[in-house]
Amino acid sequence: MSEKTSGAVSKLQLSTPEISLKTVSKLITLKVKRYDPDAGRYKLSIYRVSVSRFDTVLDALLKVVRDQDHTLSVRYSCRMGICGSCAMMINGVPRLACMTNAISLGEVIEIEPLKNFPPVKDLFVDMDQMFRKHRSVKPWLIRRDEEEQFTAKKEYLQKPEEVDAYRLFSTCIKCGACMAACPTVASNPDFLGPMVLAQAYRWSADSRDEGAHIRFDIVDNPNGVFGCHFAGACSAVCPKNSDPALAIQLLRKSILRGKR
Amino acid sequence: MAESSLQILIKRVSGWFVPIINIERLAYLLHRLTGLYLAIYLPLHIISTHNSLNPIAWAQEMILYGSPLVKIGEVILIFAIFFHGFNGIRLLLVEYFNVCLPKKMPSSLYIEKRLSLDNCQKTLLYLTFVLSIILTILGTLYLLGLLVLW
Amino acid sequence: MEILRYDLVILGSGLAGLRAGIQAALTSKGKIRIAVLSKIHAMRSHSVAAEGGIAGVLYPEVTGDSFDVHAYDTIKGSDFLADQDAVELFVKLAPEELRFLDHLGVPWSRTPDGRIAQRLFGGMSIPRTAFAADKTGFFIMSTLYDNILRFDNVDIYHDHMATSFLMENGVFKGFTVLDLKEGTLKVFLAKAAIIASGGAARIYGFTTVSYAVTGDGAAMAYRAGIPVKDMEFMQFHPTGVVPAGVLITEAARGEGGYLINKDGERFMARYAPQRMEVAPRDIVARAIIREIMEGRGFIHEESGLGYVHLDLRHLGEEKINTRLPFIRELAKKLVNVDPVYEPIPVRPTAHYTMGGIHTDTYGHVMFDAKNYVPNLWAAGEAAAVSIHGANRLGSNSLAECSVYGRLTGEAAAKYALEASSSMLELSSSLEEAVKREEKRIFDELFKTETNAEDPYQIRGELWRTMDTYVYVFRDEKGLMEAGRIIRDLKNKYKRIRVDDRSRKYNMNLREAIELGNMLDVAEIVIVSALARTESRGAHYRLDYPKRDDVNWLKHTLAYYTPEGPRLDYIPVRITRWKPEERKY
Repeated sequence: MSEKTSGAVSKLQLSTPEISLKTVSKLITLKVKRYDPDAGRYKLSIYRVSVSRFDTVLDALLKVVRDQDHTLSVRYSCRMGICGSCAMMINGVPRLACMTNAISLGEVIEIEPLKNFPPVKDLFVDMDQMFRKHRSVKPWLIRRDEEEQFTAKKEYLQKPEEVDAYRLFSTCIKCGACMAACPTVASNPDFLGPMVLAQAYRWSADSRDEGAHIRFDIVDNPNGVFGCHFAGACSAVCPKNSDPALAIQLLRKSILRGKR
Repeated sequence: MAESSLQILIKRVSGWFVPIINIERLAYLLHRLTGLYLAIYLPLHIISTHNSLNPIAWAQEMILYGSPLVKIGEVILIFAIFFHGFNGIRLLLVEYFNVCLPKKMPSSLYIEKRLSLDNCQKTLLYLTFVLSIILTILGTLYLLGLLVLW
Repeated sequence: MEILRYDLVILGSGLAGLRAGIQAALTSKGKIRIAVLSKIHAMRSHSVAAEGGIAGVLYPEVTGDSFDVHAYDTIKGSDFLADQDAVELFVKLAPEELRFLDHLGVPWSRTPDGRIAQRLFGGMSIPRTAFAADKTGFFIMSTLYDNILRFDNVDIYHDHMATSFLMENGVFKGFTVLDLKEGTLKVFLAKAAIIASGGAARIYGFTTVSYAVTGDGAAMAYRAGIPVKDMEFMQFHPTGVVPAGVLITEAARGEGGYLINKDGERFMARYAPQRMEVAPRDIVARAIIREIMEGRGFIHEESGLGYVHLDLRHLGEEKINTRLPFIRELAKKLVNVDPVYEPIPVRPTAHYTMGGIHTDTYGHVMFDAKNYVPNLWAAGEAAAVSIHGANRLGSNSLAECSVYGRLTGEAAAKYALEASSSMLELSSSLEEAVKREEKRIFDELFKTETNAEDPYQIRGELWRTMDTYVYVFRDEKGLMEAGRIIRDLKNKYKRIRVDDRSRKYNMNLREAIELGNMLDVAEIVIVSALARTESRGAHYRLDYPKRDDVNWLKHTLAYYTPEGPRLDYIPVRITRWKPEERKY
């Protein structure tokens, strides 16, 4: 009984995807620009790796780490495009490595750490300033009666159309790709940035929120919403199609027209 | 290692140039460059026309203005004026008058196009480029004397 | 060496951790200092990947629901291994959590009149799963992270990975924490702590979870002398996409999706005729594997994995776009399949750890059936209360995280308010322990040996072993083979070499530490599974296919010994529902 069943167990619950039986695969080149903190500058590492038709750029990088160079440090976690860890410059465009198919990019893929963030090591960048800017616009539900808010006896009613008004912008995963693409962020380090402004709008447009005027005061200056000159690159690269440029335009409209 | 102010300035300005991902970003870059160009041109123009009061300086200037470099600069000036003007109108319509904002936010989270970019805004943008280029060509022809206006 | 002192330290910034942080901040009214530690960025915890929904009896007058029905569904779903007093508490508090999350700003999907919408889910007899499109976990995480920023007394530490517990005389003292950004070891001393470090499904290679879900909290607690409970129960989610393993939410089946085998039949009719595809996960997972084993499944050409089809075409494009947009995006991007036109290839995937750190009904960590660790709590997937018993129902996990985040946050904050500052002293024996830990990480892991082992090879071997022998169907021979391999790998682990010598963001070092934790957890899973000679819930033995309530209606506790886990057992707490046959 044991002989038969254990054979059944090991034969039919086949191997993990790491062992491939028949793969359509191709040898590609990764040119990775890595930051060396001890030397204080970038260095270029070139790797050749074999990828299958489903492999993403993150899969390719992890194959390199596993088989060729254990010292390559990459930030990653969920590998399904929802945590926002693996944003980096891929062939000059900020993208999520785990949602970018490798074979479709051609023979050579150029990878660099995310732009407009201070690099720390290899492909890791320091996102503390973005998190600080995010916190400064008060991205939470502001109610006049906080006591009532936190004791929550009954839910707030909200019609489906009211949810639609802001839900698109709440899909932001805070990956930083929009900040890397924005030319104003590149030239003005005090500019809040598309992600932060979109989040300021997301909370202000929520029908349950009562603090829009507070946030408008925070963003109503040349480093806030009026620093945006509609380059639109943020919405062009957003991996979740969360459209921060639209949020900024709606935010500007609300401030100029005096909504709430 | 502290960076000098010049290094910082270069790093900041270079952020305008790369990466160019979409056409709106190209328009952003051209708007800044043409704006800078016009901002440098205008005081020079005022100083230059001030010299029309002095015949000798004026004659020297006219010789200077005959050189090919200045002629090319004039063509760029024509483009700068038209592009900066039309793009400015486009930005005014889109950013202040909110002409191209969607009427209703979508109820589905399956999004295939960007509501801020893929709408009448794109049309206005193409119009800006096309009109600017056409009028620049016409202006250049006029400068070369190949086109007579009336 | 930097020493930081806090009143309350929360290990892990997922749903449970952040909810505990918010509750602790509210309970203490700003009087205590709270630290939240995350080994990645705090808002990127794996809770963001949860898709389907969160259960709670919100509108009993409308749906005919009641706490008793939710409790019964949960207990029956757990194959009667759940502690029933804990389940009764849990179902009473779940609807309050849904309202609280609404008050924080979660964008629930709504009914036309503005109330929170609820849908049917696996194993639930009445629709009680509230959802936010198909990214419920993401929206709740995002809202909790945004809201925890409003408290000035909460400090969030990104890129800080705890490496060990510091205990003294049965009292919790603090953590040794590796600051990944600088590469230095810090000590966090705390009056009270909450472990919310998540599950351990990454011991498998084919899994829905992120690379960071490595069971660190459970492994550290185990090594500190705290028992881990019921680790043999690892849930396999029926629908993980092939070959990536990424989760396709149960809501796809809840909204009406079909599971089809190679012959085009809805085979669930033969395994759960009443509930069909919306039966509990362990039943569906076993059904799929049975179909594949008996030759009625497809074979994926590139990875060799068997799979069946999840067919959503009959739902129509509009319903998919409104209710399941994330699934559509994932299927298109990862396997080039558009669910509106083609069925998705799916297969059971390692997903959730029912087991975890042993706690009582309120999340308070215990050494055994009677003795407590006075100042330590555990919440979320890292803890085993146990609510889910031998099998978890979908949408109960988000509810558990929120309920126990609240309970532990409140209890820990109250303890910290009354505890004296003398608890934050670094005694000489603690300093010794810290120095030993520093030596272990920086000297032993960085050791140079000529015939050193490669941690990535060991990890690949671990994944292959767990995927083959400790999967949906297990048997004695397979488990013994797996145990032998894991013990061999643990010996190899003592000789690994970390190639990356730099200090900052040394992923090589971090993954080597995680590998140690994963090997410990894997050993516990295998030993517990080998000992349990019955089939219950997610643990199915081909050689013992029946449930055995006479001998096995008890929880497994695993204690650390240098030779391997030592097992002990405690009874299940039954209040009102007698164990019965589990049919759907």
